[in-house]
Amino acid sequence: MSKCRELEERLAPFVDGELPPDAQAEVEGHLEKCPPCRDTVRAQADCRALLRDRAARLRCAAPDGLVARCSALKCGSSSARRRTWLPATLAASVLLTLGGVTLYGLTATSGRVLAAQLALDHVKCRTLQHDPPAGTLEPTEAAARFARDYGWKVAVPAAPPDEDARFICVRRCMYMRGRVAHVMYGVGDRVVSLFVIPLAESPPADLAILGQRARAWSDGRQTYAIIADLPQERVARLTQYFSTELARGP
Amino acid sequence: MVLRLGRREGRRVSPDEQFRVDALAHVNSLYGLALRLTRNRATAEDLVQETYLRAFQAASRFEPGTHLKAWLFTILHNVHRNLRRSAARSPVEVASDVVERAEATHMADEDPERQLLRETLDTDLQEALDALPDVFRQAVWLRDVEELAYAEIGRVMDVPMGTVMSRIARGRRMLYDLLTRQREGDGVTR
Repeated sequence: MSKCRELEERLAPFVDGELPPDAQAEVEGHLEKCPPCRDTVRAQADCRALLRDRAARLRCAAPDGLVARCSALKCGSSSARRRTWLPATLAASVLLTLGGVTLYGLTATSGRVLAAQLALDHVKCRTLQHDPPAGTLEPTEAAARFARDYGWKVAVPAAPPDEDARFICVRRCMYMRGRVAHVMYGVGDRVVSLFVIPLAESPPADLAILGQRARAWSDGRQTYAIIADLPQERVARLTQYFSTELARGP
Repeated sequence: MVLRLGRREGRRVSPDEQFRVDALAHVNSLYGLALRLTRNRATAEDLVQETYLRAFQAASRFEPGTHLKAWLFTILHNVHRNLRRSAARSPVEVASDVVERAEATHMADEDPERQLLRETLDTDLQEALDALPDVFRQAVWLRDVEELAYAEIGRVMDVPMGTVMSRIARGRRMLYDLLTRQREGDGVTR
């Protein structure tokens, strides 16, 4: 029985032919006299055979949109390569900059640093999304799905009921180590980003940065920011709307 | 269009461009793994896109001649792991540790007929795979669907060989038990 325990870990590599010849022979010798281990090996082999047989069908094709977005990404240019890395594309520069400031931003009290990071993420998402479609989910459904996927309840306000506004999606921001919820709305032909950050303290900010208007505020529990390529008054109106909606809670 | 740029077209392709083409050829594999890891299409797409962003940026660090797909999997694994680690909560991660320990002492004693797996439906298989804790699902997927070598899986998941072995073994065992139970439950619980 102790032999079984000793060899237990080797049964999978045995089936996969990944053991050195002497170990392979030792397992074979044991299997001849041990029916339970033979069953284990058979289960391993059956599973392996099944998965290999179905591999093509299990591995579903990447959606066209994803393939297009990935194909649009570029490598660093050859001159950039020699200098280790230098952004060749907007996306790359966004990544690079965020890499430098992200961690700082979450603990910093600087609204400006935070706004800069979020503006970068807003620009990146907008650029990579290529005309983001209107979401197929209602904000409440999207919030429920987000809570289910990430264990984090985020209030997702409905789109502002004024001119031509629609909810697009809520996603977890890949930067800031995933601790930011990014809600996107379409307002006319522009994309408006609402960020929800589990950071209690952040001084209010209202600034132009990277060609975007950014406003950030905190309700003492979380920090919010709106980033949009829209005039200041328009962003102020949106801020008014969203802060009222968010104050109502999820 | 970019994807059609092949090695054998006789035109000069810059190393960067060749790298891009070679890397993009693995998009389905990356998406497949991302989908298995996240069980969510939107998150899987994000993960793949982020993987390519990082891969292209780090193109100069790839050693030509080594296994490109495994290298891409490593990046994807790291992006995913960092997200999971830093997520506000990660209930599945906790669960998988518990299961890992629990499974260590569990040796199923049932002896179901061999036919079972041959008759497994694709949807049941998908469901059973998704029910596996992350680390086991990933190990089994990399081995049996993507056919990576044990050493490559160890590098992708950043774990020693012994862990690769036990994750594959236990992952398959759990999958086997789930499928067996699924079939036994057919017509009774569903």
